[in-house]
Amino acid sequence: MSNKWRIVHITILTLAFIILTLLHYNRFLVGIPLLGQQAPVSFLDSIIYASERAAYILLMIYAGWFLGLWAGVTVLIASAMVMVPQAFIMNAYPVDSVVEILAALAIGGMGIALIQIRGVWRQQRQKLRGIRVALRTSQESYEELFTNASDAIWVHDLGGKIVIANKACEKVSGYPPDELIGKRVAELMSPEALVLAREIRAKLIKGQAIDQRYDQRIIKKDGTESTVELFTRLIRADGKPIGFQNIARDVSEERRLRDNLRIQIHKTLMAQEEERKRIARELHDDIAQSILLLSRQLDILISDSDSKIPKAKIADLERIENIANDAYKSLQRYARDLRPSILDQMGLVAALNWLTEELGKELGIKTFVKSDKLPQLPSEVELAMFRIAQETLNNIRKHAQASSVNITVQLISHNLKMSITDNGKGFSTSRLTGDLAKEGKLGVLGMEERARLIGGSLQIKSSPSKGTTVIARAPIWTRQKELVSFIR
Amino acid sequence: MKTKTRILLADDHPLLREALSQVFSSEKDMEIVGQANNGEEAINLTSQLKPDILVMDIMMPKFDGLEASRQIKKIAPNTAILILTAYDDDNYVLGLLEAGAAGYLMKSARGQDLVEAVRAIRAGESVLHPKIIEKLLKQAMIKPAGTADRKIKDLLSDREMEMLKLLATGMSNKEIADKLYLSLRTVKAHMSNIFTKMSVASRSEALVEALRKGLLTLDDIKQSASEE
Repeated sequence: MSNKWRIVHITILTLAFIILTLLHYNRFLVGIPLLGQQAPVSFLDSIIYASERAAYILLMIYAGWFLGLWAGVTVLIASAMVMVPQAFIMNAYPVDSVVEILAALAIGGMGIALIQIRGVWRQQRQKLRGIRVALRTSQESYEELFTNASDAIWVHDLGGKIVIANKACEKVSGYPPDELIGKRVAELMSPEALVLAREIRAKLIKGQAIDQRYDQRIIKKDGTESTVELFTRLIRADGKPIGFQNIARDVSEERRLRDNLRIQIHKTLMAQEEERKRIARELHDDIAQSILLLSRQLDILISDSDSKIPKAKIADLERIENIANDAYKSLQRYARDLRPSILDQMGLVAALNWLTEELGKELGIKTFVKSDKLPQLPSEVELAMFRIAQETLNNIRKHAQASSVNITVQLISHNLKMSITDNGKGFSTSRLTGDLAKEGKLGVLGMEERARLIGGSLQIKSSPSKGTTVIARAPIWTRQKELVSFIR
Repeated sequence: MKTKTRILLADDHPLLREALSQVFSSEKDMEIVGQANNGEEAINLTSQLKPDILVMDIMMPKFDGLEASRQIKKIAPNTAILILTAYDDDNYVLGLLEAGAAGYLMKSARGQDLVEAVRAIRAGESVLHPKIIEKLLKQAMIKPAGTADRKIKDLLSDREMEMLKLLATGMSNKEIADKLYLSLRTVKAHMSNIFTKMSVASRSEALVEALRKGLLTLDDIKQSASEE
């Protein structure tokens, strides 16, 4: 209520109170013949008295209504102070009057109280309405967040039926949300994707951790496939699993780029290997054989007992033969550095033995190769493992200052695991990939890529003065086929 | 009259084969019975001609020398294989022996070395460097020892087992003969029997086979060596 109105009300109230009080004490108003001068004898007199008291009640309520509790109480007390003396001075039956006054005060007080109660009640109602509005707003904003989130969000129950889905689901799946609801997630998946989904589901229900934000493939409405990065969470009610919340982002483009890059790197690596192999073969098959033939012919000349060549010339021929033999050996060495034929012919373990022994001889350190019995490995896997070992040993040679190097090759249920451990100075792995790349040391990245290209992985464990372990893993049966088809 | 050693040559370079052929032809106790142009031919000709010795290049089209060796040892165990290789790293050589080679020579080896290697193999002598034998034994030690093949063990007489152990120490036939107070001829006869019983054609193979089948343990060999 504005101040102006307050003043108006106070003015009205004050005037009304003064007028009423003057009327109440009319006997002192000289010369004005008014009602109520005599003792109330008649019924009418009683009514006049009563209406005067009622008027006070009205003033109390008026004050209480418009000006609040304290104004009401003030008027009540003032009324009491005015009415009580009047009862004793002017009234013939003061006791009756006092009872009347008390009744009037009680009625006024009750009025004021009721007004207060009504006020409080209204206030409460208003507050409640405010809460309701706030709740609705926040609900709306959550719904807005859910509906218009850029990530696809959906919930499906334990049976795989989609219960709720947001707009972005359409971008990922091609189905508008209302078509999605009621559908089974399995309908959006290829058999392989389904296998993964079941695996994840089983793990989540068992309470096992999964690698969150995993890649999953979704078959869209138009039949095309998209790759999504998925986050799946088990929803529980009263501790019981009831469904799964999924947040997905379409990463098809990123994955395609990444795959293209990988294929490119793969092709580059393959081309490099092919080229090396070709050059090595030409060195070996062509030039080396010619030199060898030269040496043989010389040998035949030298050892021919019927020869008419003078002794002095024989010595010359022997020197020439030795030169030819040296040239042959160097050529073979070059050919081998390009493409270790020991790998192609004797397999990974022999090649690793050769590598480590070379290193051992060069640095005078202890080396040891231990291997499980291996089946015939795909040549791609052998080559990748060999090159990873070669690069690792190069790093050991350059940086590690190790005094022993161990290589173990294990076959753990169709997975090949090669660990290369040195006892050198090690390094802090935090400065690994990124920093090494910046420093132009791409060796580690190349190793990782080689491992990835055969469907495997590379892991490096190290800390300063604790040595380094490089672990390369690769599947050697089924996945290999997959990889080949993927690259084609 | 001693029979000539029958030799099959396998090399994919005709001129080199020709040069090799010249080397062996000029020896009175050797004859060339055939020439193969690749691994496949080498296998086929060996099974047809059953030569005493196959001199084979390791790098050949259609089955390299290693694969050919493996297959030949299955169909013609009595043919000893001498591999010509560009590399003589220990690991490489061990691989050759595993595949069933009796011995190896560098491709740049002199003609006379080749001839001598063939003679040594025929005589049941070792053509391996002692260092290689040592490595072979070490490798056998690393690998989990299989249970001894009873069949072969029962076939060999005590004398022959004794000789097998001595053989593994790298002693020559002559040294073995002296040690056991036998004539060289008797030792050669025993060797020949051992090779036949074990279905091998050379000392190296007998050693590899004995280690593979668990006939020999490292302790056996150490004992024999320390008795010297």
